[in-house]
Amino acid sequence: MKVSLFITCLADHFAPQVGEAVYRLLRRHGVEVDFPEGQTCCGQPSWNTGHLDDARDFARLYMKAFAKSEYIIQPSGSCAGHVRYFYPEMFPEGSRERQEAIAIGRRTYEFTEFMVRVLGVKDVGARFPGKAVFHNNCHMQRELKVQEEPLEMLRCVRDLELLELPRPDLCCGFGGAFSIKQPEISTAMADDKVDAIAATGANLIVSSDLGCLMHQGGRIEKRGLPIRTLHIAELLWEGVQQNVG
Amino acid sequence: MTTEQDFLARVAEKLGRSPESAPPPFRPSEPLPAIGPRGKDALADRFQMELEKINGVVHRVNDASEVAPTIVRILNEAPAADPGKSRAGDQDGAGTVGRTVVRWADPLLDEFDIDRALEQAGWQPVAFRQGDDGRAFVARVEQAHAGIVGCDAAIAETGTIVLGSSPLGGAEGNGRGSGDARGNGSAGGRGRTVSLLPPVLIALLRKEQIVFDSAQLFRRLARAPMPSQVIFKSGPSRSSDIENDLTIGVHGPGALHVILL
Amino acid sequence: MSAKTPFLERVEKALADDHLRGAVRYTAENLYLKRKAVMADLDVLAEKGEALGNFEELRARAQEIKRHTLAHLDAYLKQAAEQIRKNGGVVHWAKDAREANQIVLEICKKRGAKKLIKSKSMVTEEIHLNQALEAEGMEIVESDLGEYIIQLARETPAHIVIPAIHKTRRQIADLFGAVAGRELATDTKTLAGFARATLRQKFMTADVGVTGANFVVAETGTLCLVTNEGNGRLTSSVPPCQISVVGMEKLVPRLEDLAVMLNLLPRSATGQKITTYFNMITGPRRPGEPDGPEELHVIFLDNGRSNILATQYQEVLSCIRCGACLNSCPVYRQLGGHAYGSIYPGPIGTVLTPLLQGFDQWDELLQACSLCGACAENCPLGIQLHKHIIRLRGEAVAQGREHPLMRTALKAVHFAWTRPGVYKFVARSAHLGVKPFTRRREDGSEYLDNLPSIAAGWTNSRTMPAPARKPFHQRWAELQREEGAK
Repeated sequence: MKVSLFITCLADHFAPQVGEAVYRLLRRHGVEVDFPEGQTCCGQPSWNTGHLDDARDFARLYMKAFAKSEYIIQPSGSCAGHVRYFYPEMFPEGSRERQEAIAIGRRTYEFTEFMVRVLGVKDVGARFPGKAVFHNNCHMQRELKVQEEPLEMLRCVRDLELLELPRPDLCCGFGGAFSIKQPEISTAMADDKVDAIAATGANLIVSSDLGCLMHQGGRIEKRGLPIRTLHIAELLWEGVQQNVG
Repeated sequence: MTTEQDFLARVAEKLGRSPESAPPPFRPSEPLPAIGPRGKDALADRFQMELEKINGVVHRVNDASEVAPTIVRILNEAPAADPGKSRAGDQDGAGTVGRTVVRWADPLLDEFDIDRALEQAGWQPVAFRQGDDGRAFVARVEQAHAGIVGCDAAIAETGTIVLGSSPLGGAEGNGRGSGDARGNGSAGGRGRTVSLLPPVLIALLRKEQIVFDSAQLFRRLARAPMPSQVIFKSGPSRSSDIENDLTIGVHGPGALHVILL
Repeated sequence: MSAKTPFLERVEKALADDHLRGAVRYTAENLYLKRKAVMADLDVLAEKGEALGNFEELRARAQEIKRHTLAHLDAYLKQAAEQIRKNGGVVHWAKDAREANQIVLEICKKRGAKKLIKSKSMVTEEIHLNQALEAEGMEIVESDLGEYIIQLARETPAHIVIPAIHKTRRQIADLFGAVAGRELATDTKTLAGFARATLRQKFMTADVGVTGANFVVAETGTLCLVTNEGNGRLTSSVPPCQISVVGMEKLVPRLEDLAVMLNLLPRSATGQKITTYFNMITGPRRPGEPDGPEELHVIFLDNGRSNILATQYQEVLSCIRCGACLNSCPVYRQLGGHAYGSIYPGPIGTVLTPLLQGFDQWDELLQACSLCGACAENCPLGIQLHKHIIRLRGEAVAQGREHPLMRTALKAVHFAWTRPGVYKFVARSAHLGVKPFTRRREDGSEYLDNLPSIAAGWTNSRTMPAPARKPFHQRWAELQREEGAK
């Protein structure tokens, strides 16, 4: 099986190790991976801030870069949600581009969604001691409707205690540009989320969204709390190495 | 001021056409399903369960002769000091409430000889008679300890009693006490406030008047002219406006007793 | 950033008020969880054949009802008006708030009415009816317990269903105590009992009762009021005249359609299967009836609603004002209703207010949203509120309503990132550009702090990861070489 990796602008800039983890986990399960040239950003920042024409340009860029890809894997539920849920909205009903947008949305997967639903892999053979909560991002749970897959994968990780987070549906306040445009509200929301996580006794926040992790992690660092943030692919890959080592 | 013609023309224009004279019939893509149990006993049991969940009290009686004594017993046992009993002009809610009991003068209640039982027990029954002054009647209702009404119907699914300001029409078959099929039963002796102003409400319901869900009732209402007011009442009046703390008996009755015959 | 706007000032005030935030969070959470539980029950009942449908099915039915009604709204309004008149009611048409208030005033003047009592109604808040009447020397008293509390506090509702969501029992006891002229205990029973007794007097002496309507049935001209306390029923039963102000979108075609709405509204609003009172009013008191209003007036209100018809926002007019979007909104949960500054707060207010009143005062509301989509998920009519917020942001941006620095930043990103070559160049040199703001942790890893300009919004409260010295697309070549070497 051959898949294409869409790294996302956030992972490309701030967390290349996440891309590497996704790549290595996919390879470990016999999947061929390519990395199409010409990819940049899904365009969500433009769309969410109301720069709708600009967002369309990004959508076209993505559709062009991945035109030949059978499966497109993203280490982000948010960006995958944007592609699948909002790209079709950007083009007039009945247009060729809308058809293309719908089709590419169907071929676009968040990483754990692909692992569990397509590959049927829940246990990657990882060991990772810690007490973790999983933070599901909003687009991933509501637009992709991916909720159980990451949890199923995490439950298979040896020595990882997965703790129940109350109101897992509640947004952490990242929201892309929202976090910069309304920093006070955004931070108040982060505090609520971080407090709820701290109350579970967790020392690790796992998510499939780097934006939420940057936001929560950045707040945690300013508050000096003993909680680490980690992308799920990174945890799984680190865990595989620990188990092998 | 905007005229009807201008108002509607603007709406039609926004919708991109000239005003329609009559709406097209609305036919949902799927009709509402028939749901729930049909049997009289199952409906009565469900009604009771649901009403009890929302703080209503159900008194089952097997014979018409038990109705009046049950009413007297409820009145005699009704709690005395309750915010639900505070009267206008008595702002502490600790004043005494008179011995007046208001009731509908309606065929639904006629056969139970309620007045005599009330009088024997020291309660003073009051009902509206044709020609009485409405304002004066409402003032008496406001001072009454309890109101007694008959139900026009009930909904088991939600523990709801249905009260019309006049009898509901539209019944299938010839249900007793449910007004004639055109809904033109006499409005005279009822009164909206009887079930509303006194702190205690006692309602008489017959098993065969219970339907399972509201859709059945709405279809019935659609078959006859609507009374000026129809209420669905589900449990005693309640509010959660103070720190989300539930309190019973805010504006309407604080106690709801249904005598199920 | 430049000086704080009134909106940001309100936000700041709300966020600094721990008391308010605690109260709002508590009640919103409670309502959210109750709704969730009752919807789960509904799904079980539907499975057993004891409900008209599960949440999704009922939502689809409700959407179909409202879509049809709005598509033929002129005809349904006409039908409803004809029916109301046939029932003995009087129908009025108001294109805006001023006309609606004027109509109420004229009815009162004609009757010599001075004292009014009102049941809970958002539309009369929308038109500021109380202020209009008070300016003419009339007394109008709110009879919903929550509305009464905020009227005494001289505030506006902080929630469309629970107006006094932000008030504590201590504050309520003080407000009521001022009316009573003595100190009151703070227990719910005492406070509710005081309100009942005080308002009962108001009801008995009111010249006019004012209500809104949750639904109007076109085929019968029936007004429907959904309440728990009984204030709607008192208002429509005791005073000699009833005036109902109704948003023109409130229609449903048939009585039977109420079954769908009645399954959804209480569950969505308060997590109840049904409210205590569902009141259907078809005309004034009839001959021979002892009570009920002698006169019934219905005022259909436009006030900007017709501008929404046949636009991409039309479904917003199907809102039944249940408040589920407020209770599920993570932003509302932090702020409460007053920070929005609009009559309708929360997600529905964020969308509806600029649609009804334009962007001038309200474009900023659109920023009070993280686009999480919880509102749309919980909406009993499935209104895609977060999508509408994006669309409205699009309109605002097209009109140049945007922070200039934010605009510059987003335009720069668009320019650079839609050109893959430029994108790569920027990504590879990003770590150099932020050097002055790069800090080193004990473990040697890097992060950013004290960023300038709009980015300070982030780093004032959060650190930021430092850009990688080697972005992934550069790493990719190495991974490929590694693969080739195997």
